[in-house]
Amino acid sequence: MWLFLYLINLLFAFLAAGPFSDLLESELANSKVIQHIFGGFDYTVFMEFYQQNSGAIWAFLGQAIILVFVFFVFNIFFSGGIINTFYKNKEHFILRNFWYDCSQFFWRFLRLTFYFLMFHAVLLAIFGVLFYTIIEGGSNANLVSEVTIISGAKIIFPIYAIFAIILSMIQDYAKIHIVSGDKKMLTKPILEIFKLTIKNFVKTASLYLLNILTILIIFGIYRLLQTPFTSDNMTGIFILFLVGQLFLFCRIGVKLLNLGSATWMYKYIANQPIVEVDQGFEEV
Amino acid sequence: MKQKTNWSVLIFCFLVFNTFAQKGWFEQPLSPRTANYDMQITLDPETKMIHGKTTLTWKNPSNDTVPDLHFHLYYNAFKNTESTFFKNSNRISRRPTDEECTWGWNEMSNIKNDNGQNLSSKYIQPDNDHEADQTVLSVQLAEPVLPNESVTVTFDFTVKIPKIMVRSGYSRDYFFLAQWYPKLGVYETEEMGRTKASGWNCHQYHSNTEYYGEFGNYDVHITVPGDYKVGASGSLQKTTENGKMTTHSFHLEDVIDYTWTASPDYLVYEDKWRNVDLKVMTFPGHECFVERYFDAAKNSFDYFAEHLGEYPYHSLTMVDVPYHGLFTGAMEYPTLISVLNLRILPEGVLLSETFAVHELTHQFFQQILATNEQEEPWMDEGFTTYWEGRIMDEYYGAQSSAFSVLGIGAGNVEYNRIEYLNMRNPKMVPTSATGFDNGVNGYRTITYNKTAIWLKTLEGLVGEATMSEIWKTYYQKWKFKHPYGHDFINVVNEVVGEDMGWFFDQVHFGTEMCDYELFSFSSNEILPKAGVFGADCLTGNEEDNKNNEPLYKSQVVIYRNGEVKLPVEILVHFEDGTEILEKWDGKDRIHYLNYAKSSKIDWAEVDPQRKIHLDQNFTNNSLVKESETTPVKKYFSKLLFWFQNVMQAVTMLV
Ligand SMILES: [Zn+2]
Repeated sequence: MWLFLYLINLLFAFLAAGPFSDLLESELANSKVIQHIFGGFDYTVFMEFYQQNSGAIWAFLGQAIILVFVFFVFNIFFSGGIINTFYKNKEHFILRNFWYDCSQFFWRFLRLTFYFLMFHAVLLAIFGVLFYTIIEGGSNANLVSEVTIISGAKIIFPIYAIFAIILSMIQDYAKIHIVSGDKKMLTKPILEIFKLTIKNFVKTASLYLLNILTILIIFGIYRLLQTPFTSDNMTGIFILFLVGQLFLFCRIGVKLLNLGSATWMYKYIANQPIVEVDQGFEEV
Repeated sequence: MKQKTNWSVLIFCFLVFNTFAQKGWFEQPLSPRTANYDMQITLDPETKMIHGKTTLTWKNPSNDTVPDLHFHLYYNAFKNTESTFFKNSNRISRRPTDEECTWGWNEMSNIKNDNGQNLSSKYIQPDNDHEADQTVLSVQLAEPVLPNESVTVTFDFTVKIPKIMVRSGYSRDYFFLAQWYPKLGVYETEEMGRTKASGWNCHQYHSNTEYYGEFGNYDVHITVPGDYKVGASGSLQKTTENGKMTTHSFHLEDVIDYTWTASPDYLVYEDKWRNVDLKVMTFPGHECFVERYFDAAKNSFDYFAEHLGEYPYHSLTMVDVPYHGLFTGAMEYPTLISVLNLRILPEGVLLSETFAVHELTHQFFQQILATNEQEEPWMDEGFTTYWEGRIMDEYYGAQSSAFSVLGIGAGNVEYNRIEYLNMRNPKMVPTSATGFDNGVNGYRTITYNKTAIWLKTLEGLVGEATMSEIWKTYYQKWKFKHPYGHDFINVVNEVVGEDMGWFFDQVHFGTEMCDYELFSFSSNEILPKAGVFGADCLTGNEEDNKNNEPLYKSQVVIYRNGEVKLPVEILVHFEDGTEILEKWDGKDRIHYLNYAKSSKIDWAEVDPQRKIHLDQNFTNNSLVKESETTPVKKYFSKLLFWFQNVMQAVTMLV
């Protein structure tokens, strides 16, 4: 499942990045200016490239945004399969079963994602208005110093981030709760999971924090591994590509770890048996 | 007692000497000192008013008999919506405010000559028929001023300071007074100006451009509340306390304008460059920018001392404007400049340095070389942008002097070039356009950036040494005078030794674009002769030919895509390492280079040293035989990784 999710991510990113690379090659590979961008960024080369190809670049960007959206919908689709895999403690990843689970929960998870996107939007709006009020619109007609904007951001942004993270955490538990009870309607389970998660906040939040720390540690290791290599020769480029892919693979792994551990935590706080082995399609 | 008396004498002598030393800074006056001001002014921060008295001495520099004096009253541009400034300006929006009156105005009264006779005055509109515009006042003299004679007038003036309007005004208890006092225009002689007609050159205040002033000395006594800190053009001579008010007396010589600022919140830092007193006046929260301003100023002074001339004045004050007074930032006045930066910007964005270098450069281009910004803005802003680029790239890196953040950077010169090329219509006006009647958007980029780019191109064409000679000659010939465009062009022609009209007609008076392209090259083996020649039939495989090195017929094709025609070099590199540098006059639409050599062409490049900065596309200047795809792979892998992470980030919302 892990590898499968990584490959899907790679495929979509490849489709998004490919046209840009082709354009870069067709426009620059025959010019000596390509040497200027080998060592690092070159403003003149990139801006001229943009100037000559802005139509194509914006078209490719539009295409990339569509791909990101499709990937987003795919991930909603996969969520059912992933959580059911963890919930049922399936020992082997069988694509057929996984596909079935995905389709079982797709519409419910699509609605759930929509609701939580609304919650996120409301949260963002609340903090946005709060920030806007604190910094008096950021306008130099109202503020004595722009330092107020920085101090406002320093206060508002961490608080917003905490609330947004909590909301994301509740969203994970909501998905598990829906899978657990095979619930068809969403309003009641959402309310239930809000109560359950908040009631067991220390446990759930500690676990979530642990997973966030894990990804931060992985990011640190990734930065360390990057340092000795430069991308001014083919070997360097290849090694850096591999290091990047390893990071991505781990990032997807942590996402799965997060859902797996949350499923375990859900069973624990909901007083459900933790081990419930499910080995086949027929038993679902 | 005796001892005491001796000390008193010594102190008295020192004070007298010091006073004289301060009064006459330079052994010889640097400028003609045509208009000299003595001003006593008092600021009332509550009513936002200034009350002042001026004694002005003006010397007629012409052979004319002059019956009147023309004054700029720039603050009347902010008096109401009927001024030329407001009618031309679409960028000022006046929001409702709870303050009683945020408009500004300037009024002269009690105007007298040195015999005490009252002089009459009237507002005039030399530029248009906006009769309500009161930014130029004509004062009728009782007796006309004869050639080379002087006249002294005294007058009172009242200034209502506007809430910051573009470049000047107040915000809270911050006051920045630029273009604030009744200032004489320039009386031009027949040798001067665009039209070569003598008379007053005193334009109304327009939304674009403002500077053109007459040289003179200034003694300005500024009275403000005791807790206010004052920064001003010139050097502080003394401060006198008078109850709750303090008078700050400043003296300055050989300048064309006068500006000052006051606020109780200023933090003042001092430093020195050679004998010049440097000062940064800033506000709490901006202490981190102080050293950056000082460094930029010192670097600029060093650079000018080496490449143009040493800064002649005794002081430079850099006012780091507050956030609430941002629109007074990035302006230039004699020995006082306003600079700005924002704490919300990353450190790698070199705003402090760019503004300090730019505004300081104006001390030379606009103050010492006192051009008419309203009529020839390119000589002011364009020359300054060119020098700003040279200084910034020299001290802060050719690929990082504009900004350098997270590995992405741009140099000042390249940034300005791209800004011009990215304009929606880079052909909108020539750089020779006047500023005051040029209200169209994009004036700035043409005047600043295009001028800087064609100057860089001129440097490429004539060479750095000749360009340096041009600047030094121009400076020596025209410092403390009023040069016009043709004066600069004459200097260029004189130093280069040829009429450069072909260059200026295209890049300065014209609006066309420039682009040369290395279109293609090929190398084909020249095969041995074959066929029937008389009685012989040659197969092309004769034994004699086998030992000969193959010979290749090569051709390079270059296109001129733009309308601008400039001489250009082409470098052709062969596989055996040999190189040929060709010169082409750049006039034809298509140009061929042909070779018969034992080696094939490896690559070829038009303008390999990038002398023609006006070329709008450097990418098409070169072609290589073997395309290089490794950098493409590098950027593909980066882009791929970036998209993977974006996609993974999106899954956080699922
Ligand atoms: Zn400027």
